[in-house]
Amino acid sequence: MSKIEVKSLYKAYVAGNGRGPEQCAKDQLILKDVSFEVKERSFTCFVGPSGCGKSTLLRIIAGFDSPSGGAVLVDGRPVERPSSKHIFVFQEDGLFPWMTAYENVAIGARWIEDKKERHEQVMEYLELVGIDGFENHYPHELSGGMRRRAEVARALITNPDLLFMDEPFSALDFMTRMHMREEMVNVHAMFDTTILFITHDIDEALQLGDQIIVLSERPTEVKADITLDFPHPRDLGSEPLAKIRREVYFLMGLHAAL
Amino acid sequence: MGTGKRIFLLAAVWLVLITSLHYWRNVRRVPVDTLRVGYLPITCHLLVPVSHAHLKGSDLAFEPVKFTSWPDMIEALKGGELDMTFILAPIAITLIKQGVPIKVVLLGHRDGTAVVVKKGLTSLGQLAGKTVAIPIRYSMQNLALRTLWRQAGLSLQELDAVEMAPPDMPSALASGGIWGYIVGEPYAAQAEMAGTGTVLYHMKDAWPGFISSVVVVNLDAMKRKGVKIKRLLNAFYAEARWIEHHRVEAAHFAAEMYGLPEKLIRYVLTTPPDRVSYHNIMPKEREFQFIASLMVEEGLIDSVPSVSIVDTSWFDADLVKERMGWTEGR
Amino acid sequence: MDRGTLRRRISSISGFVLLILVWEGAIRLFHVSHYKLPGPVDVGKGLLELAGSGVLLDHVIASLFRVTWGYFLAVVTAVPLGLVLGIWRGAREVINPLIQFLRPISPLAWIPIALLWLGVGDPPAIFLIFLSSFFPLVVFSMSGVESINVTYIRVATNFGLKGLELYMKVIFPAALPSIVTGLRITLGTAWLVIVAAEMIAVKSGLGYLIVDSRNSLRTDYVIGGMIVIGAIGLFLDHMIRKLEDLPGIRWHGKQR
Repeated sequence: MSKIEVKSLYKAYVAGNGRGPEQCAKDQLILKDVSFEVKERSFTCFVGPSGCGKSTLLRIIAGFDSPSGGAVLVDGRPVERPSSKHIFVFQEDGLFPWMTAYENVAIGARWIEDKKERHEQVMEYLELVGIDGFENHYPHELSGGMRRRAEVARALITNPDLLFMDEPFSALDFMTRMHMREEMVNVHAMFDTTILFITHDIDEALQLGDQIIVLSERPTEVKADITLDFPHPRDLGSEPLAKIRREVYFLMGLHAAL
Repeated sequence: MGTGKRIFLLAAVWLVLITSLHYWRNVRRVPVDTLRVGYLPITCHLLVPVSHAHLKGSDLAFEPVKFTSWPDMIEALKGGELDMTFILAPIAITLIKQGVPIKVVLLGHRDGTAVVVKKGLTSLGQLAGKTVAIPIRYSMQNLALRTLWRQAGLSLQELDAVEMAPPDMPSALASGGIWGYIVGEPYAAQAEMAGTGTVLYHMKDAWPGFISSVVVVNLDAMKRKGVKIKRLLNAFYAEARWIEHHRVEAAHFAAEMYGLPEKLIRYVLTTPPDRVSYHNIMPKEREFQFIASLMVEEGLIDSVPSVSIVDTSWFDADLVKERMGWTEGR
Repeated sequence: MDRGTLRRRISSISGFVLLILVWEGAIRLFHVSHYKLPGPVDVGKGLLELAGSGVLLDHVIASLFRVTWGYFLAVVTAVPLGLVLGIWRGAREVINPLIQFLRPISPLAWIPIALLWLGVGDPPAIFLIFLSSFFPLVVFSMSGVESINVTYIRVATNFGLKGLELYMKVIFPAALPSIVTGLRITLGTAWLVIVAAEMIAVKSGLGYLIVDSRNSLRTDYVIGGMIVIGAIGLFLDHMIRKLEDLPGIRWHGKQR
């Protein structure tokens, strides 16, 4: 059975007096008949032009937003509200700026009752993401990469069932992104989490994903649902990865970029 | 959060510190039955510093409550904060008419008000169309100025009177902001001494027996502390007699309490000596009915109060004699 | 002290020096009488007299006492009220118009009422300070909550924070920078109002010092009192600015 089933999902922003999705003007329709499935413990990447409904789609699956039509099933049950087992790493900085890195990660460890154990766990996760030594720093005292790491640590410490990441590395510089990419591979290998990952970087998706879902412009439809069954680390220059890469570029209308 | 606790503690320490400092330095503990007497630092209220100095430490010691404006004093009186107060006669009458439980029991003094004009001016007529300052509409000074104005055959239309705080009047005259003013002492004497103004009329000449401020008692306080209030009023009466014969000493007490130059007060009390009078300070109902009718004429009230204004039932000749002996003996 | 700080210090002091020079110069040039405007030396002497006799300290204590209590009472009532209104929309819609209506009424307009209700002495002065701080503080706390970045609330819900824990760990600290800004601004206003509040029916405090000196024709004390008020105001602002540098608040304005 699939971990997540998305069945002909519609989303429209209803302006004014509650018109249904069918009567909505075209530009108000964000998701149009989106369907796909995600396997347990898989890493799914969503790519698509900016401004398409990627974030909306993820927010609906995570339960922060409700669909206008269709269904989202997680473990066969419809999603109704956010769950502390389904952690969302937001596009903007989601760390609480008034808390130190340690305190932020501890927010994810509230379920551990024993104080000593909780402390050990928090330290372990800080170390895992490589920001041990910075636990007493406030977010604004950390670099962009460190902030993302702390946020990932905070998400992972909850031992999440689903992990949603909305362009988590888009604001980072090139080198830091490359490092974070590698670490995501490791994290996915270490944890039993199903990861849903939005990116506008096709190479990032090819490096990380077990599955790539290519989305169209608004109203967003699924253009392609590609399964990648390649071991890590991946050489994007090698066939057949290079072929898939070309395919995705074409799908997104980026002929000239190749 | 460590810092939160620290700030909280710091705030608590500061709160306790500043409160105790304030209570130690600024709040004087007075017995609950101490009478509170309101006043302004003017010679019309001279009985306050003199009596205060004499009665200090005795069982009649009272708490003088200093005000800097009439409206503040009125609010405090209405709020029942004062057992008695020195207040302008027209204000007292208006309050009685409004139903505030007070009675006029004594006068502050007689005369002691003057019309001051720019140096070189010689008649009221020269003030026509020029700005003239009065302390407040509800003052005897205002009524006096209007009466004098009319008596001089001038039209009230040409009287441009503005309300001004008395301490500001001498400097306003000097700077040319106003051409003249009518005020209680010592603010007439001040311009005279500084050489910037001339006294056109002393009230002792223009309106003999002129009343400016009166003492009123709060009738609610009278119910509770009647005996003590009566004793203090008799003491005041005795002190007025004392002032008449000890003007230089009286000036000293006033200067000390008012924070005004002693020279100025001495000048007021002695140059000439009848500039202010502390004789005959027992109020008469007839005088106040007249003032009230004058107020009606000037449109300050719509009718004369239906109740009596004056109450002098506190007077006790034996007590006055006793108090006078006591003061002289000190 | 590095060179930049030194330069800034010198610049800020030179402004005061300039003022004193202009002041003294104007008196000499235009032959201003001592009664109208005493010179810096006379005012300095007057201040020393006041300080030497201990009177000045007593007045400062009295003013600080009234500001402390008025302000303190406003903080402990206005901040919780503002937080509640920020969260609870129904209550906000009822109470906010009231607050917006009462806020523009100058605390000085309340003087007659304050005297009538609270008599003479410290209570009316404290009440006026309270009023001057209360309404702005409510508004600052309320808008602090309203303007919380929605991401923080989403993250908090995502991690299962709710009830008191949500308020203490997320809503209050997120609104705190706005509240602290409110604290700083209202402390300034409170100090501004104290002088006026002390011009009524009290016998101590810097405002009283000024009115009393005016009545006793001591312009040097009046100006001396003004200088002390300014100096303390400067000091209070300096102290409360330190709050904004605290680690739990400093983040504000540094992110995004």
